[in-house]
Amino acid sequence: MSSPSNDSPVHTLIVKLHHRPGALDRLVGLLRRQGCVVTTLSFAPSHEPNLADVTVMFRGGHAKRVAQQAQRLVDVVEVGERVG
Amino acid sequence: MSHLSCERTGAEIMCEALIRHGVEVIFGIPGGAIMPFYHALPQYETQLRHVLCRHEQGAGHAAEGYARASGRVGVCVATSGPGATNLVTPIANAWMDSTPLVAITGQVSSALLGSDAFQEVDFVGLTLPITKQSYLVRDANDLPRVFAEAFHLATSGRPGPVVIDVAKDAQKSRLTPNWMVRLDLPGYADHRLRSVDLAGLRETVDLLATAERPLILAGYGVIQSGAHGELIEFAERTGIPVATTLHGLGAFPQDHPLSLGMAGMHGGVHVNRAIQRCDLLINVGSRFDDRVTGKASTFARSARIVHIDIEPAEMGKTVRADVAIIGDARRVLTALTAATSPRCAREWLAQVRSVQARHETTAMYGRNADVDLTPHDLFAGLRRALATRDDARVVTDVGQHQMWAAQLLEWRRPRSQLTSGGAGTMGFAVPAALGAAIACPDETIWVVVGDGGFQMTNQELATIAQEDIRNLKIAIVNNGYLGMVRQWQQLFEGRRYSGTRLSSPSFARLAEAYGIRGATVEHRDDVDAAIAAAWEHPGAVVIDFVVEREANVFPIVPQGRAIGDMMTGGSRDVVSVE
Repeated sequence: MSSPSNDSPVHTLIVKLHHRPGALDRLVGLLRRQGCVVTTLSFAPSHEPNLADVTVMFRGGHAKRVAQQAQRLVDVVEVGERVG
Repeated sequence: MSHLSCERTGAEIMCEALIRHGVEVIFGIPGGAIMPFYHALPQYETQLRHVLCRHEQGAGHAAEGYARASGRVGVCVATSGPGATNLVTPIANAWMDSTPLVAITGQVSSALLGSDAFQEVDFVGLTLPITKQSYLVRDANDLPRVFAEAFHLATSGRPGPVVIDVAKDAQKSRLTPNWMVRLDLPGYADHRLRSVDLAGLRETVDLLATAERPLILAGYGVIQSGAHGELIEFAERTGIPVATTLHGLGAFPQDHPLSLGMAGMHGGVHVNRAIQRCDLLINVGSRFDDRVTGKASTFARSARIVHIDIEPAEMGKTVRADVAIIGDARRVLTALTAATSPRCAREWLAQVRSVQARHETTAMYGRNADVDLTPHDLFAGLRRALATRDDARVVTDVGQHQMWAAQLLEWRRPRSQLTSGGAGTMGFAVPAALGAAIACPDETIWVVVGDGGFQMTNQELATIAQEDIRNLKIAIVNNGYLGMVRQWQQLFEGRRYSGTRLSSPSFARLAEAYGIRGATVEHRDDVDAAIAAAWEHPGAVVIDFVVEREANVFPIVPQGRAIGDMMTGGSRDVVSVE
């Protein structure tokens, strides 16, 4: 898979995760499998207990499919996406 | 007996958790890191049968075969390191085919984790992309909850594999288990429990009212949800013909007047043409795999598409869904049947049947007079034998024989065909059939396998012999090649047979060495008698059918082409059948 070019659009994925071992690994692994290149990633415990908020900005991949596949992950509680 | 007191070892809790979740059979191989579990196992031998396999891959496929034949969870067990890595193929296979599987592995003691200890492999890390969930248990107090979550996840929604990796010290520690656990799955929704989407239902009913050329495509989701009865009711009420995917074979009885057969790369000409010509396609429980769709952008190009699936992530993934109904196939079909007025599509069905009459798949397999035994002689014999029985299932491996079986046998009931679809795992059939034979002791399990795939897992003949499995009959379609790859080399790569010629031992004598009856058949006149003798023999049988070496599977859609672009056997040219 060729790397996305620097002028390809940046997508933002906003995910609420069940904060437990492996949850972030699965999300990052999903981005890799879908051909995305992560440009920024932030991870912080949520104000809700045992949950975490993740914001990922990435280029490449198929944004809608990434969001759908993220929702499929058992530890993902909520997914939002934004283009640009 | 320690299990009569309140305190238990972690290993005993693992055994009791399995029993609590209804498990009766497990398939596995012991090793250092899983020894505490195996130490506990004899205490529970009246409730938990352990089947000792010869390779962990065999144990995993056996658990898959058990699951697919019975509709229950399959459970396999292995030790850490190489024991666990040998399970990767069956776990990937279960992931691709949505099979409920719980894989239990031992792990090095928690104090050694991360130290590159003997037989330490990060199995949770390895299996992250091919499991619904994976757990590393360091504290035995977590075992009741982890097992409860694992069984819930493996069986609910879209089923799939779950890994439970248990550190050796957690297996050995002593504690009083608390079985009153709460599932801690805030992100997980079981779509079987959701109410049926009324808006999608109404849109589908409207589309049904005006469609002139409607078609149903049934996938494994129909079988998983036990919706075959509901599918028959819906098809009969609406008069819509039914095609299936490979895994959908058996979801709709092929002796039904509305049955069309299998679609896709090796689907019938009339089926693929119907997909390209229909004006409404209702996909029930298929994920639009590329072997079904061909070039996805051209698939069902004239149709509005209704996609019914329990997995939201499948909606629009490869093929657009004009109407997406997320839900359990059985509930959606029941609701659709209730909301639909009776109608028929007689003219459309007649059109499809006239194409079928001109392009019967069986007619594409001509006979070369010099050949004593074609693969199709064998499948015709097997079809005759199976026609009179409703107490048999067929497990196929991967390759040419798999497609011949799919095309040339008649599939009448759910779970009567077990195969490896999405992952295309050669070596699946023999161990999977072992699991199916244990799940269905009153039925006969036929294995159809190539000479290539047979040799990938034939060590499980020893398991079959040791467990005294009698209701298992193995038909090897032996053409001396890795046949499907050879066929592609012939059709698409100028007959350059690179790495595909196989020389093999005498399979009949190999079987005899394991104490299993072996036979060799080289002529079509001997097929029926060999099958009948195998059926009557009160034990496992291996029959080596030495068939025509370069027979091909037709029709075939070249990879990446529209499913209406087919080679039909009469010519090597690709013709549009649309």
